[in-house]
This record gives sequence, C-alpha cells and structure tokens, in this order.
Amino acid sequence: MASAPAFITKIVTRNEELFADEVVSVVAPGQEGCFGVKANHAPFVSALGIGELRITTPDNQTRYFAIAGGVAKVQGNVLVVLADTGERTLDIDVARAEESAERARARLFGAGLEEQVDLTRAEVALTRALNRLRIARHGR
Amino acid sequence: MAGSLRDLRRKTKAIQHIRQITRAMKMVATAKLKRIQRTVENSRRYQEELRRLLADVANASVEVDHPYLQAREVERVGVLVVGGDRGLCGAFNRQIDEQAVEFIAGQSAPVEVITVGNRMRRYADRHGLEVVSSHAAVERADEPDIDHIIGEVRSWYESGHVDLVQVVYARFDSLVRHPTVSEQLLPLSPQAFAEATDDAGPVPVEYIFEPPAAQLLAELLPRALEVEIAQILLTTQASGQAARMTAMSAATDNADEMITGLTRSINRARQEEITAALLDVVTGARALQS
Repeated sequence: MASAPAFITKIVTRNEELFADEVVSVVAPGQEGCFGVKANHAPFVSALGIGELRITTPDNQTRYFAIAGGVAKVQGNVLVVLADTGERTLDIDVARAEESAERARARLFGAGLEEQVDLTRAEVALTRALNRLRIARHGR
Repeated sequence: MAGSLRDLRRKTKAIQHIRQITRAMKMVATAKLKRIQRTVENSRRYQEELRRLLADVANASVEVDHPYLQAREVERVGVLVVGGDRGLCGAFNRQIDEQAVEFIAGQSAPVEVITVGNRMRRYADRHGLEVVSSHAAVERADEPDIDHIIGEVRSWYESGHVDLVQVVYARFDSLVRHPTVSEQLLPLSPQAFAEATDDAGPVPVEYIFEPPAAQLLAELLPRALEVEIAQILLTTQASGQAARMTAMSAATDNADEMITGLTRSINRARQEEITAALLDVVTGARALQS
C-alpha cells in the first residue's frame, strides 16, 4: 500500500499525554457522530462524545483509545484531542468497567418508581462503561 | 573549665540533632516537590492546549454570551487565597498573605474570602476577614477537595453572590522562582489566555465548529475554569515545597557552620585543659626537684 501523507496527533487528558506521534488517519467520536481526520484536513473544532478513537499509524497499525467527553481541534495538520477521560486499550481495567456497568444497570432498571434516580447520570455511566468494555475486547 | 567543655559538647550534640531534622525535612520536601511537579507538568499541557483553543473559539465567535465572560458591576468581591498548611518554609506563606491583604485593601466593595491551606485561614482570621469556607492544602490531582473548591468558586460566582473572583497564589516557575501572584479568575478572559500561551498571538483561522461556537464555548469554559483552579492549587503547593527546600537547606548549612565553630571551641578548650594539666605536672615536678 502506498503510504498516505501523515500528520501529528496528540491526545491529552488532564493528567497525562496519552499519545503524540505521526498518524495517517484518525476516527474520533464526535458529539454529533463520528468523524474522520486525514492529512490536510480543514480547520475544525468538535466536541467529543463517548466512544472509541481509532488511530492508524504510518506502519499501518491500528490503535484504540476509550474517550469520554472532551474536544478535538484540527489545524495546520495537527490534531489535538483534549479528552475529559481517555485510556489506552491496555490500561482499561476490565473488571472495574464491568462492575460499573453492572452498577449503572441496576440503577437504571432496578430502582423502584418512588426512588429518585438520576437517570441521565446513570445512563452516561453505563454508556461509558460499555464503551470501555467494547474497546478492551476488540482492541487487544 | 571542665564544665564549659561539657556545655560545648552538649550544645554541639543538640545542633547535630537539629541538623538531622532539617536535612530530613529538606529531603522530604524534595520528594514531595518532584511528585507535585510531575502532576503540574502533566496537566499543564492540557491547560495550554485548552487555552489556545479557547482563544481561537473566542476570536471566531462574534456574539459570545456566557456568564463567565460577562463583566458585572462589582458589588461584592471574592478572593481565593491559596497557601500552605505548615510553616518552616521561609517567607512563603507570609508573602501570599501580604499580597492578599494588599489586594483587599484596594477594594471599595465588601470582600469575602475562601482560603486553601491552614496557614491562610489563620491569617485571614487574624485580619478579621469574612471567610466563607476554608480547606487544607491539596497536593494530589485526585483529591476530592479540588472538586469541592472548584464547585464552591463556581456557585459563588454563578449565584451572583460575588461579581468578581480574584485569586492569590504562588506560581511555580522553577526551583528558585516561585513568585506570588494575584490574578483575576472570574470573569474569565480568553484574550488573557491567548497571551499566556507561548504563541506569538492568535492567528485568525476560519474553523468549522461542531456544535456552533457559542455552544462549544459554553462547554469549554467550565472545563477551562476547572483546569485553571486545579492548576493553581497544585502549583502553589509545588512552590511551597520549593520554598521549604530552600529554607531547610539554609538551616542545614547554618547548622553545619555552627557545628564547625563549636568543634573548634571544643578543641581549643580541650587543648587548654591539657596544657593546664601538663603545667601542673611540670611545676609539681620542679618543686620536688628543687
């Protein structure tokens, strides 16, 4: 395969820089649907939702990151992803993710009507946990 | 004579003990500083990127209508004073206090204070300031107290209780440079963010925004505020530990100096004692001979 033009991608969370290297393409979970970025993309800023961020490196490897919220900016062949929380595939704690998915499910479906449950929060927690699990499974 | 020799020895021993303690404190401060520094550096990347992004978005959107950006008429001023929990770090806490007092003295509107660091609470009480709440110093990025403080500052301003939030803290530039600074925290000014980044200035770029810029800004501003506050809290503790390192290093050096001086006095006293004893023996022998 002819090598596609590369560009720089940085993934930064509040606590660490997860990734900073040349890549060929990125697919990121935008708040209003996934979007792809390749070299020479037009200047673009998007809020991020919960989902997976897929990176294809110049040597045609694919890497996955679990992202939950944040913002991405493309400008001058540099993509900066500011993630509220983000994890490399290998850093995902499967047991913890399963546990929190279980907890969120219980809160969503198990609670009686009289109980005041913050449904939105529980739903977000569930989506987040499921996202982690999905990426942990196919990313390795 | 013998009594003073014993005194000198006792004094030397005491100073040696003190030296041990100051040296240990210096080492502890160094270790803590390294840890906090790492956290600060890690989140500084995020902070810088976010600042740059905010400046870009703010430049692009013509009509920005967000409470964090609106300057209100100032009827009450909130001051977030961030300092340390403990002493033995030179003038560190006092400098922050002085800076805060200076700012408060210049205000015509009534002032309320949130303190971080036990020392700051004590100072504020001594000055008779109106303290809304106080927290211990935070040294880790994952301490829940950080979120409490952020929440308090947000509701302080959002509820309209105060119309301006000033923060006084010690910024950590390097081991020997950690200036005390007084900055306006709220309302935020993305223009100031742009200046704070190392860029030559925001280059006007036509971005595609998703969602629209105003909505995006509404999501970004609270995040920016959170990062700024978290960074302020941690950077101050880094400065505090650096100040403690310097202070304890100086104390150890002073102890070394004193020990050297005392050891010399001890040696001299011992010599004198021996000389006196010898003299006694010699004169005694002479007396017997003659």
